[in-house]
Amino acid sequence: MEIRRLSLQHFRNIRSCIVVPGRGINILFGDNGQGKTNLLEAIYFLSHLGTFRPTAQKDLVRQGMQWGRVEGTIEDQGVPKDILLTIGEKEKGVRVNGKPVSRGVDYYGTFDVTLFSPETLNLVRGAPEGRRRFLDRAIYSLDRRYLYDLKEYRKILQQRNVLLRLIREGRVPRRELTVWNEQLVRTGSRILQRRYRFLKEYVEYCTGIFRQLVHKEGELRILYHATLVRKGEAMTGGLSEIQEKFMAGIAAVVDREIQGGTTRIGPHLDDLSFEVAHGPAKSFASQGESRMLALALTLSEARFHSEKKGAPPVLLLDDVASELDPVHRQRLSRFLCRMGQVFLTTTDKDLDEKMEVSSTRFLVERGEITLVKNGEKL
Amino acid sequence: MEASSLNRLIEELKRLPGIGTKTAQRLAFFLMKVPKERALGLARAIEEVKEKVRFCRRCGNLSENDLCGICSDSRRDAALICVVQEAMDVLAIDRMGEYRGVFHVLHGALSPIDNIGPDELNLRPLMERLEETEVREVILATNPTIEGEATAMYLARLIHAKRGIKVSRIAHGIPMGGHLEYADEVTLSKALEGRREIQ
Ligand SMILES: Nc1ncnc2c1ncn2[C@@H]1O[C@H](COP(=O)(O)OP(=O)(O)OP(=O)(O)O)[C@@H](O)[C@H]1O
Ligand SMILES: [Mg+2]
Ligand SMILES: [Zn+2]
Repeated sequence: MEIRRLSLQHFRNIRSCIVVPGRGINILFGDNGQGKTNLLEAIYFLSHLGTFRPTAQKDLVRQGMQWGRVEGTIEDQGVPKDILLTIGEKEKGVRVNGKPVSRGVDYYGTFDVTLFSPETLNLVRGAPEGRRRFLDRAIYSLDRRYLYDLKEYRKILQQRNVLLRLIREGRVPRRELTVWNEQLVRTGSRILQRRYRFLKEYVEYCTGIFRQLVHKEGELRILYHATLVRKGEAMTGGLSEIQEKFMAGIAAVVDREIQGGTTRIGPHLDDLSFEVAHGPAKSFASQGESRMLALALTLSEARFHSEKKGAPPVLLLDDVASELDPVHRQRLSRFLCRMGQVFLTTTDKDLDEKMEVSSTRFLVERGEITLVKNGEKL
Repeated sequence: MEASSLNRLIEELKRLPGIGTKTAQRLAFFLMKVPKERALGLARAIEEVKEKVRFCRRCGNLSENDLCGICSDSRRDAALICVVQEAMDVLAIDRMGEYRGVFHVLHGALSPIDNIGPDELNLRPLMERLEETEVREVILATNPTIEGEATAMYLARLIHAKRGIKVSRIAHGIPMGGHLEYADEVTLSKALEGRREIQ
């Protein structure tokens, strides 16, 4: 997928702009606080109908304005699509080729982007929720049934947790738990099976990309820590095996579950860890290595996605090149040349020379975006 | 003065499911404008329903008599029972005109969050029916939500424990959760999984 034309009005600090990006690497450069991330956010918004920053929808509209607009012409394997998003105080309008789309789920997959932002760094070192979210998003972007199972699972958890508390208070007999255990196991096992299946394939991509970007003979292992598997116990990932272990696991913890009033095993509590040569990346990787690892994980997802869907998503890399040494920067640029359309933000106006890539460059200054060629504004 | 009786009508209408302030106001003004006979016709219909309609002693369906029209119809196959959550579902299934068995209405589904356990459902009469009459098959047609699924599972166990009646769960044409927003893939994969006999 590719953006052929992007037009914004009253979006964040951008009053109005029309950007015609290049097909390959696009570099957005400018000083701090000028609107580079805002531009990426607009592209992300076009894909997810939401933002990656912790902010309210109405903050996307330029201060003092009532509404904002993001308009994009997307090319998806040769087929152009016009997307128009309007943001108002309360409302959000979505049109594809002039036709309104009323539900987000129907829009899903219209335009795919993969984002790397400074927050992605938390993937390696941060809390488990972030890793679960990363994993889940990677899976459901290719498999809608998975998203659906996740939602069902959450509802089952809520019901089951209430029931555990009712049992603790002696208001409900324990046998009423049986059907909720079965539901939990049925849906939870499907989720687990998809995760195992996904990781098996994904890790191949990761290892390859990790070797290209980080370490030539580097080893990268991704371990999935399932709460229903005891330490050292093997798990092949077959559905009936998962179901059996899940049931047995519940039987082992149910007393404590009732005491505590919450479900203690299942995919909602599982975690991932990344192991490099010396051991867990969480404790061994340096700042720069963590960064490269997180980047490799994100780029692998994009590559995986593009293999499955037949076309790469648009890559949004916010502030990725800072802190990289020249060697790693080179490796990254060699890799990016073989991806589809890329948007990179940086405060370094010479990044293109340092990366030794041909690129389309835009200067971002106080919310104004200008194409720059041979050092001249156009 | 005059407005207070109108306000009361609006407030009463607002208690109906799916009716907000705006709709309630529109309905109230409409009723004020129509001829008195028509408005009172509505009031009387409500009154009559409340006086006459109750639940069928056997199946829990709506009925004007001790037994509902379906239970007292001798051409119906009484050995085939379709279990549903609400009386509304009886209407929906019967409207298709293909089902010749009888029904059982649970008046709800298991939901710990709403404090609904087995004792809150119309279950005992069902188990009594299974004891007292010759039943060949029970079709579990509770909703395709997690609550409906849990209820179906619960019933399947209960019935199997009692005796060897065939228990089946209907295959759903609509996706689980009852939300149509989940597009075709989900429906499809669900449908393939559906049509199962519950062991
Ligand atoms: N709704 C809005 N209306 C007007 N200005 C806004 C709005 N939201 C954010 N801004 C402004 O946009 C600017 C930030 O832009 P952005 O985050 O894109 O900076 P940046 O170019 O990525 O900078 P850095 O290099 O520091 O990351 C801030 O000055 C902020 O005040
Ligand atoms: Mg920024
Ligand atoms: Zn009846």
